[in-house]
Amino acid sequence: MFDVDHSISLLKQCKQLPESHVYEICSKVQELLINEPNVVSLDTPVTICGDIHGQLHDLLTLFSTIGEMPYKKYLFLGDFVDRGFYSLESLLLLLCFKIRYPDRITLIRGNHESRQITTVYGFYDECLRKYGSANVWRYCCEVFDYLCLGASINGAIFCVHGGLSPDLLNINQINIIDRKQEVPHEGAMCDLLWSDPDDVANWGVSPRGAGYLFGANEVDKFLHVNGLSLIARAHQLVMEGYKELFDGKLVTVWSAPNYCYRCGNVAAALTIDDDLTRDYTVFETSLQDVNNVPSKKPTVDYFL
Amino acid sequence: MDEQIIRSTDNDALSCRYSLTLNTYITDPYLPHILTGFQKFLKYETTAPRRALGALTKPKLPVINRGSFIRIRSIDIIIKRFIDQFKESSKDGIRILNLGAGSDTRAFDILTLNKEKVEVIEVDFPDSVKFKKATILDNQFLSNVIGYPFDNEAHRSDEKFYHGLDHTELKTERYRLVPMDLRETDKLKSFLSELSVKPTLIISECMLCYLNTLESEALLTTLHENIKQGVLAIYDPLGGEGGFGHVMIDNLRLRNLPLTTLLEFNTLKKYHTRLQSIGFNKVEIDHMYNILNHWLPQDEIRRISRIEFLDEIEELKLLLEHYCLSLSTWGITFDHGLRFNDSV
Repeated sequence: MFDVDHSISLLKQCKQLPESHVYEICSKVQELLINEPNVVSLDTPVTICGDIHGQLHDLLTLFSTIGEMPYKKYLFLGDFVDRGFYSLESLLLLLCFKIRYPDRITLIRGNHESRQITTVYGFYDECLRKYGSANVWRYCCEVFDYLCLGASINGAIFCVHGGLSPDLLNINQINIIDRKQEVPHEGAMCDLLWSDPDDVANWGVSPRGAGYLFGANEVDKFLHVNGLSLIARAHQLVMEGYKELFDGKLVTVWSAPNYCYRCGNVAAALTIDDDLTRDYTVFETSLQDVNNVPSKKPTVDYFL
Repeated sequence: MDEQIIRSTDNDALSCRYSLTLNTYITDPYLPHILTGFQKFLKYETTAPRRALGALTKPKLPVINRGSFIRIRSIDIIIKRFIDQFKESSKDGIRILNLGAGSDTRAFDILTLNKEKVEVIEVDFPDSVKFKKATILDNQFLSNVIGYPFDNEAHRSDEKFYHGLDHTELKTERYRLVPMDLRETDKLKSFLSELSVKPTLIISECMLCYLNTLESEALLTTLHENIKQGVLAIYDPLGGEGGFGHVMIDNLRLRNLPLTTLLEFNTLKKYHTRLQSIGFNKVEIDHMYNILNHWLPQDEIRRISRIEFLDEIEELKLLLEHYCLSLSTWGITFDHGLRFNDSV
């Protein structure tokens, strides 16, 4: 029998759930997500978290540092999976929280929540290794297609995984995208998940091969048109955990400490209070040594 | 450090090169022959690192592919410019000396493209030399490339053939594969003193980092004192000043691979000073992220950017900023026209 509280407790111990329970979690979450608009409206106080990338132990550190649900409200900006050792457990834990406390946690889609990217960056292989078939990966990818694309906090802060798109000037335009599909290679939906802020006049070519680089002018324009004061996004590794750009009109939040067990960075989460003040919580990895990762061979690559 | 552990890093280099060919970053017509050698002879090499062939062909992440690409490409660029400048102008031709060459395929490419006036010498541990020698002598194509007479009837069984080989040097008119532990400075000194004087490009590609401070200092000093006209190209990791270097040391300790100088010469400045204090007067250096952005033509950058989605540019930047390439020149003037870091 599927019991969400029991599943949460298993996932916190990094234990594998039966395939049927994964199916159940994914179906239940889909029913919740299908009702969410492309851009979800949220109220303060809320804590914004950036990329997680399967670093389950660090995700648990995040919750224990900031506070547990339902006492705290969370917004995750995507990239739950790939790269880390426990993509599946990290994702399922977040999905179980969504089922348990649907109003206390919002999940936005990142560029890694995609069939194509997860086959390159580890999540597909992880599912195959743990379950011997791609079924679980398929259930999860179905969920990915239902994840919303952005959030608006008190109508003043726009939250997205990547950034802006030359095809979008108004948040209302985002709400008419048909989001229930694999992340396309170009266009507005792709850009929201892939773009990066940069020191360019307006728009630039992204070295990632998808999305755009956008400059201060475009941020100003977007904030002005939509009556906003801040864009909060994730998507880029920041060694200090967070980084404000463009006179504080944009912030990058990164929540995967010692990313890929190699980068040596700290992580952060951003809590927005009722008066819209920004409170950054910086935290370090709980896994000081990849040797402590149970039953996993470290696959940290260097040029040797 | 244990010889076998150092040798295991050649498998990493080889698997990165393989991944680049698989993903069309580079073409390497010699690599399949090297891999054939691995398939045939690894099982008879009792001292070889115990890593399955499967690990060699495991796919690499895009960030590793891009970093491996610029590592290989930057050294190829230096080799080409060195050959272009000195091959014709030097009466006695030129020499390329690859230290710790392992399974590198560059020698075959250089010898194929330059039928005369270029001599290639590869140096590595005796067991590595024997392994590569077996691969070459067993292979008609590679034997032809180095100019060694191929004997089709030389062996009936791979095992007998392999065990029948000794650890001595493989030598042809233009190619030498020399067994030597580069930490044995006296042997290196007498080897170098027998070489004729001609412009010599020395390649140390991710090799120096496995020696401790004293060993690396002795090696560098020996090279500087015993080669009259030299260009020394060194590719090495840099510990840096943040957490990256410490994490790298922790991670590689799991493979028993200590990097004792990583945090000692941890910045471009300190690495530069290290080379100058050996006596190299002209030293140029930069980290690999700058080299990736400065050395390649725009259309090549575009081409490799399109091969795979790179999920994280900052990670690539961080990784490549922790590897450096230096050029030390003495006894000749090398007009390479390549951009290095001018603030060091």
